[in-house]
Amino acid sequence: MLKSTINRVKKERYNDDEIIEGLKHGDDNVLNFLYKNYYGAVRSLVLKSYGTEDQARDIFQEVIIVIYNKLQDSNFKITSSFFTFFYAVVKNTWLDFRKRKKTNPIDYALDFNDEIDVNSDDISFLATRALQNNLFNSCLKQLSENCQKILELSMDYYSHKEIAVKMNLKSGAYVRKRKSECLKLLIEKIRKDTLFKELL
Amino acid sequence: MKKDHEELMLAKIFNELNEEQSARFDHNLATDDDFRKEFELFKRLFSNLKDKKSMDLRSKLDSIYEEMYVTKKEAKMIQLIKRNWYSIAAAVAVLFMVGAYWFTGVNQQDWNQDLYNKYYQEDEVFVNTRSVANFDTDVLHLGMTFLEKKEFSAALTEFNKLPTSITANYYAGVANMELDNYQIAISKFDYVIEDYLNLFYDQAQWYKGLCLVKLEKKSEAIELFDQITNTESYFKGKAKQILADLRKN
Repeated sequence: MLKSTINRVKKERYNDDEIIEGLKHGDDNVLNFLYKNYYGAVRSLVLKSYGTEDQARDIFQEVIIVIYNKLQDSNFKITSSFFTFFYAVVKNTWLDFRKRKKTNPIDYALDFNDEIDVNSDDISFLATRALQNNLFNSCLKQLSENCQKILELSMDYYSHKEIAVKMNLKSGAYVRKRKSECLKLLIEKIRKDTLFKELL
Repeated sequence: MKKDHEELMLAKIFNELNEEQSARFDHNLATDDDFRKEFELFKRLFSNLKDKKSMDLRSKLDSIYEEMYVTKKEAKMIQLIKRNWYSIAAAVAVLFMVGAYWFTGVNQQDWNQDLYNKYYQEDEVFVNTRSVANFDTDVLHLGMTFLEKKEFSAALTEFNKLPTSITANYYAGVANMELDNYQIAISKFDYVIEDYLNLFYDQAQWYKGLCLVKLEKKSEAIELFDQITNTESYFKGKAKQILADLRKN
């Protein structure tokens, strides 16, 4: 129905179909629009419940990314307004995060979905995904850039030798050793995070 | 988790299993529930590394954030420094005048107005266009749209249609404050405060306090702000500040 080109033009406002179509294609203007119009809500929610600016930013980004991934599935449909859906995922992700981190037991009793009509299975699935991404990326970010790059290329099944050439490193053997150290460090950080056990 | 298990999982994820390891991996996966659960989670976590599109999106979002928030903050700081020379001179002059004003005691009648202006900040409201919704969310959405446009009476008409909604009562309180109906605003905030388990609790308490200031109900305001400082409210810091100011007056 809608062509993705619709979103290539920067607009002040986008309707839901345009937002969905733009997000599906990672359109810069729509991402800007989402940051400009929706980030405030996430920030407000997180800060008001004793979170930090960084946590607000992480939650916002992870939720955008999980929705983006979900939108790649042609069978996936958002039945409420986009904002309602987005905010429900944000709230659930944040609530889940706090619950799992055991930061404030009072929040457990909150039912965030009482005023909205959304598919709770999707929300809960996406909230878990966002938390998993958040856990992994926050641990990954603590590694050096070289470590991140080595792991990223290894995941793309480049050989150690190829990685050495690509990254201008000494040798394949060196990459193997570094990769093992980086993985050890990453796994250690992941395991140390209280979220890890909770997500199992 | 055994070290050997962890190595097997990672080798599987990075496609580096030899034949013997592969057999051990399959065996563990079929017989060990903990192994299977942990592998599923690691697989999911490490898939982040492989997902180029998501990584691109993440870096786009990072850039937007930097541009929108970090750069703005830095620009504000530079502007602040540039203005500093003028500000210092202006501040000294203002301080002198305020000091003289305080000293003569003329300000006593305006203590509430000054404090209210100092601490009152309109709550953020954001809305977007919608496609499908139910009655309650439509009404709320419409009310918030009016609120965003500063059409407070129209916003109230909508919020009043939902007398039992915490959200509607909270925003009705905010709209009433904007219309200088502080007593009514207090009744709206009271409705919100009655239920401790809601997201608007902290804000409702804080705004109620400001309404009390505006109505010159100093002792009630002090009591409420005192309460806030004894909790983990988001407004704990601000409550301490306003209490100090209130006690000066």
